[in-house]
Amino acid sequence: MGVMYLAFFDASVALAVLSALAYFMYTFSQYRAAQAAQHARRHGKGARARSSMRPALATASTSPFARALHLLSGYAANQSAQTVAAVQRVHATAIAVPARSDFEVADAALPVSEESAAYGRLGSILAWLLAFTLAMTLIMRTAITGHAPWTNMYEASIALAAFLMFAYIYFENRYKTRTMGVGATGLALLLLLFAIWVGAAFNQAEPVAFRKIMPALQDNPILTIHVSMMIVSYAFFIVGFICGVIMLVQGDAAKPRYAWLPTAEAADELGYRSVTIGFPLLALGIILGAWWANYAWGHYWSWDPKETSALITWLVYAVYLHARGLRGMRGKTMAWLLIAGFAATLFTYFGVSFLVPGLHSYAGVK
Amino acid sequence: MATPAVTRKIRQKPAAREHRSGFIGGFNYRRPFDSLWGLFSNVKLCIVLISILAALCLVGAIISQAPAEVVSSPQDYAAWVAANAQPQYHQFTNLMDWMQLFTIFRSWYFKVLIVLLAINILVGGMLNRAPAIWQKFRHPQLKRNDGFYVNSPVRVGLTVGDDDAATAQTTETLRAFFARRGYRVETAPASNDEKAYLYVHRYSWSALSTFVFHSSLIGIMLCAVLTGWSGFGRNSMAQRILPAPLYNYFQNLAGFSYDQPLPNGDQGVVYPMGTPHNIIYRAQQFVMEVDPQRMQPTDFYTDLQIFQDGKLVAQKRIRVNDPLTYQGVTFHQASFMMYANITLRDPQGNVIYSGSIPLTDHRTSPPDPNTGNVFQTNEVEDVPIPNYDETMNLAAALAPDGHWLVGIKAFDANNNPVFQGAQLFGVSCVSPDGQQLVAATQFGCKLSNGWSMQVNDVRRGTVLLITKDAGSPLLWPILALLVLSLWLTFSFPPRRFWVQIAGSQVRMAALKEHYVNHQRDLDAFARALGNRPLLPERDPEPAPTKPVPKPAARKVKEQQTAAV
Repeated sequence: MGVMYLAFFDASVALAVLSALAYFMYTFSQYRAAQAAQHARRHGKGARARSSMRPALATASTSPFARALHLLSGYAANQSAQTVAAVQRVHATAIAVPARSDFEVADAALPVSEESAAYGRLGSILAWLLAFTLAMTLIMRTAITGHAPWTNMYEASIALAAFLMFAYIYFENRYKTRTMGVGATGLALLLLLFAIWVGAAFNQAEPVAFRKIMPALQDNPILTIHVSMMIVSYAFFIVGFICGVIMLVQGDAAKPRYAWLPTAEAADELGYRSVTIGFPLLALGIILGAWWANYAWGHYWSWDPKETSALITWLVYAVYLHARGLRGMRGKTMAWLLIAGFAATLFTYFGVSFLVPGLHSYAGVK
Repeated sequence: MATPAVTRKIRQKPAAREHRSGFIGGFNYRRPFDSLWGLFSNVKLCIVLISILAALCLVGAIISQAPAEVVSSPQDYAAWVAANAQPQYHQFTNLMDWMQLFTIFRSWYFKVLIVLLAINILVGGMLNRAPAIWQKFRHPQLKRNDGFYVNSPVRVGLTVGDDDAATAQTTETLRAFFARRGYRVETAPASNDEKAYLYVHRYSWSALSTFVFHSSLIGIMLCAVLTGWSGFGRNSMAQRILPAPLYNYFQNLAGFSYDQPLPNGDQGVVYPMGTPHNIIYRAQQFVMEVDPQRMQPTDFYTDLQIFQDGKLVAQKRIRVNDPLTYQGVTFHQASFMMYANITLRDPQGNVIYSGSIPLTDHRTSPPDPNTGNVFQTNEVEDVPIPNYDETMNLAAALAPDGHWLVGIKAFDANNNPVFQGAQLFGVSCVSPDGQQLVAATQFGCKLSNGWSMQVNDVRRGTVLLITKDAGSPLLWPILALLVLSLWLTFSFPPRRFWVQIAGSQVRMAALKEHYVNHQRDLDAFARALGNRPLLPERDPEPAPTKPVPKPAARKVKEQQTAAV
């Protein structure tokens, strides 16, 4: 069991590297496609696009590497479906409502090149595999220890990486965009590297049996639900943060700066969606924590730094939701609020564990 | 030359507003209630208040806060500040203390902000919005004027069915179409222009969940007030003013919370306020298990018994996550500490003191430079000696050989040393000067004033937390409603569309909402309905609206006009 756990964890780290790389290549291809489109617009129809900028209908690949990539990512198998979709798109332009993606994301706005599509699909496959191996890592750890795998910073970081991947995959499939993949997988990789460091530095990687963890944590149902709600909400806030960064990079919603990124409007909406999922989950996590504290510590609220910082995070997102939902605010202010919420999340997750003493001294990093 | 005149004119506008009669700033003092209502129904105020509260919470999370048990006593609080804040903040300590930064969550300004937020939630989140939301829910506008269908920023127009289909036929098609998608379809009264109007909506009820959410927030605040309620003080005016049943009811609601160190076999009495009978509790035994590899406790529990009117009424093995509740009073396994059970006798053998003393402070000595040994010391100060105007300090240190060295030192009222001595528990006595091991006397180890000390036991014992809280039972259903309302608000946002049907020509429009993108819904409907554009000959496009000149252009025009 221990060997399998390590195998899945190692595979997760490797997959995180590979999927981040694939998504980076996808985004880079999109960037090049956008540049080519801009070049073509400037220099008229005669301008020749490079091979990596050919539209999806093109059939020939240029290099053996590209061919292998297409094969690996299932490009060939999907060719006919793409052709049909492209024909439909051509027809759709003639009628009232264009058959476009739900959002004006880069994936829908740009002509997706062969290479880009292949990298994107490869990134998605690797992201799925990464989510699977991370889930298996958590399951194996649970089987070994007999408790939910988030009793210290090492375990919680792996869990956060797993939930982040699931949150991202949900958004990728729901809204048909892969452009955020490099951010999501990159952050998942950072979390895994952090887990490795914290596991080595504070001797946390060694699985500890349920009966040997500190007595306050020996309540499996509430430990499982309370902490998982918190971590899942953090995962969605990270997705919101990525959207906030994209909004800032894109600048004005009417005139997006980069065609290869989702528009600021789309990022704004995606960020909002992520917060509307994370916000109730965070509320539920805080409430479950209060319920636990009430019977374990005798008070449902003690103004402990961890619970206070979780409240701060909730308040920041409450400001975001009020500003966006009731005041109708959009643009940079919303982007900064998403980033402020992420900063509050980071403070709740890392800051309190490393910097401020309190009742939540379970992370084991002091 | 005329440009400055225009600029001056524009700049003068706000100044003119400031001098409106009856206004101070934006506040109309002739109609103060309306002004206050306007202020508290403003979302901007809510955002500002939440932001300030979040900032204060951040300060409170970073700066160490004085524990609740020291705040009520000025001496304890001053000692806490001297021990915890002074070494950290040095010369800023007094300023920070004056700003109540060490008790920020109990500070007056924090409480004022909470009250303001509560009023803002009540007025802005509930009362002010209630009529409009209720109107939309109960009596929605089924038909809008024709301009809405062609000018709304959220709209779509298309042809449905055969080009020459009748209005009634198209209406039925659309009714069936929306019903399949879970929408409720309501028909506006027939008009004279051979057009039909539909009002299509889904999840309209979820707009009401905002009231549940905001009510829950108010409820949480009330529960917090109830939790903090500790009853009327002695000789309170309430006792004279309030009717006896009401006074007693409020007194019964009063809560308390305190730590109670309790050595094995000892018993304590619950604070009688709010309880019809005294409740006596007894710690039969405290047990702690330690992981020998990591030297961390893996389990600790107390076998607790509750007595009422002299009878055993409840007993339970309580753990951190498994407290015992009896008649609203909850006994928690809070922590543990070392206890030393000693007997002090005078030279004649009369017992001066006998009992277990909790050693409340725990210290770890720096490693000994020669041996590298680290001493774990548990100690307590200022324990009063009955019938003597003296106090004693007691310390127990675990020697490397596993024996406890227990030392005692007493002081008189002027803090002058009275006596001292020590005993290596279970081995021998230590001479009063601490220089050598000596044999025990008849009554124990001899102290410097001729008294004797006998150490009977040194062991861990329980620390209970005893609480009574009238707020928490009410809190959980309120919190459940809060989460439920949040989930409903974000998962089922209301969707409302107005449809105008003229033959096969259909126009659908919606209001621009901040929560949902209705245009995407309309586009999806259009795709599902065949995505055929409106027939131009039957339904000409609306005349283009007059273009609004850009601000820069307008300014130039104004400048030109002014110049002329």
